[in-house]
Amino acid sequence: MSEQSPTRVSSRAKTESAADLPQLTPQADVFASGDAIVMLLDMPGADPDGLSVTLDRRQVTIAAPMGLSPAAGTLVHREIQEGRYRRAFALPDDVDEEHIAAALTDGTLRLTLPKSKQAGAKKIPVNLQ
Amino acid sequence: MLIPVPVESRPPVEGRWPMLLRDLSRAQGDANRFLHATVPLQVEFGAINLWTSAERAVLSAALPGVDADELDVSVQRATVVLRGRRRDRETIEEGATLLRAERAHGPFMRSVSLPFRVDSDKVEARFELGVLTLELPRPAEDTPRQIKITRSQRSPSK
Repeated sequence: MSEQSPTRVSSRAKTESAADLPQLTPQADVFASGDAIVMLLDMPGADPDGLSVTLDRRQVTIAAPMGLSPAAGTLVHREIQEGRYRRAFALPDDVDEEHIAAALTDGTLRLTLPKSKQAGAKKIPVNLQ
Repeated sequence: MLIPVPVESRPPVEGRWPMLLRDLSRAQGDANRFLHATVPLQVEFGAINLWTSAERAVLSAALPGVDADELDVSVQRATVVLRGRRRDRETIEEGATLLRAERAHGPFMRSVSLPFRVDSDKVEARFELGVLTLELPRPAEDTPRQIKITRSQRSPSK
């Protein structure tokens, strides 16, 4: 190989259970506009059927298994890790759970989380006594 | 300025020094192995896995968010070059605040040297789920040939 020295290849058997799979952290860009938060996450090879996006209060969690299609021959150089993608983000604002959009295109997940309408500043009445 | 010392006039390494140097060298090797095992290899955009067999090489490249139309693959003899550009950040509406920027953006280039020459006319490429896979067959005249060994009767000794 040209730039990198060959990576050692793990000899672990392919019969690992899901819990033993190495956790992969997708790299992310996060943008905030007036009415939504948009996230772009790099998840090459993520299985679209196994992809899950869950929202719990103000935390959004993204998870998906990742595996390359097996190739014949000997693996002589490895930079791509296989395993399970997982990443959680704390959200700065209340999110409209009903209108979250997730699209996986060419291995990039695009999450659009619209801010909820009620999230604006609330006026709290003060009783004078 | 350095004045070269003739080899013969260098003092020989004596006493405990050879052993100490050997120990240091071994400790350095241990430290390197430890680092390689614990710190993940940092890879620029376009991580690559490569498999080889007698007939072909298979290359996988992780290129998430790259439009296939913007991807340029060239194969010459034993060198594969991947070029492209990622511009999905441009789809974000103007005026949005960037809260986190971890992903590489813009043009990229990766060049890979294969252990053998491949037939550039017969390369197959597919791009699925952000992973580019190239099947790179070796030319028929280049693939290793099994050499048949015939055993001859040993000539009788005189």
